[in-house]
Amino acid sequence: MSSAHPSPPVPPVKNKVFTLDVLLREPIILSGSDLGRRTFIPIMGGSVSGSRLDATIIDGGGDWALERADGGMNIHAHYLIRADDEEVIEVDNVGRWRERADGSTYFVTTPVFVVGDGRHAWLRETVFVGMGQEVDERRIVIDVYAVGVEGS
Amino acid sequence: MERQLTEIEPPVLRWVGNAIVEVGKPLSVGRGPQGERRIVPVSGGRVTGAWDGVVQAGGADWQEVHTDGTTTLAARYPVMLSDGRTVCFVARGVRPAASVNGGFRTSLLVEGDTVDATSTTVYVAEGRKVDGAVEFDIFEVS
Repeated sequence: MSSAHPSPPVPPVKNKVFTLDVLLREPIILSGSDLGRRTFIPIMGGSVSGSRLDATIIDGGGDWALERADGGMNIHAHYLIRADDEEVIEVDNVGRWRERADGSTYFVTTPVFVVGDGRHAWLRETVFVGMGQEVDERRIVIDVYAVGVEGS
Repeated sequence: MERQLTEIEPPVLRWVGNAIVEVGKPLSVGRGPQGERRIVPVSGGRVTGAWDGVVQAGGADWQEVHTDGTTTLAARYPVMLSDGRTVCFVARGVRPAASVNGGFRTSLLVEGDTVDATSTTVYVAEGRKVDGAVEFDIFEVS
């Protein structure tokens, strides 16, 4: 039985930790289904910049996007980044496109990082949300925020 | 007007509901790619707030416990809503090694085949362990 909250719980704090600047190649149309049209958008490079993480994006991953039959757009990007200490980190980023009141679009993502023990282990100890938007057809930027962690 | 690179608005988190998810005994299944793997079965529960739903049995949280004690969470379970639809809650997150009361945080997506706000919304959940269950608050990210 859930208890009624006297006032809504306070949302967790969020702090911007880094920005992803992602360069894309031309999309490859995959098979369609009744769910919608699947597209693979190859990721060719880019950068990650922030006070705790500086990295370059490794060519070869991509976004397995789904343009849903109901009009929505799902993101599932999977790629590798190389940190400035040479550790390679796997990024698995699921998200959804959204529309603002003025009709412009952006997307919210939930990046998960697969890292080893050591300097970058904080990436697996934290929940992140990303706020992203298209710069042009071949480039997107995502501001990534740590959730529930006080700013450093 | 063209939007500047540096001008993406910060996320706004808004409370939309809470949930209690009943869990069974964890099943240890050896080492996974990231650590000791434990499968925690989901047996029932309730979601209230933005949705009114009953958690169905059949899902589970596939956890990986790292050597430093950090636990990676990856749960999927069905929820039957009051309008009869069944959606899938997909949560990915972490229970830190130093967590108090089994406190954890996840992202949360609600997957279903219908057109509504849940299909374009990403949520964040924050909760804790209680007797035989976990309870958490759900915040919409926009």
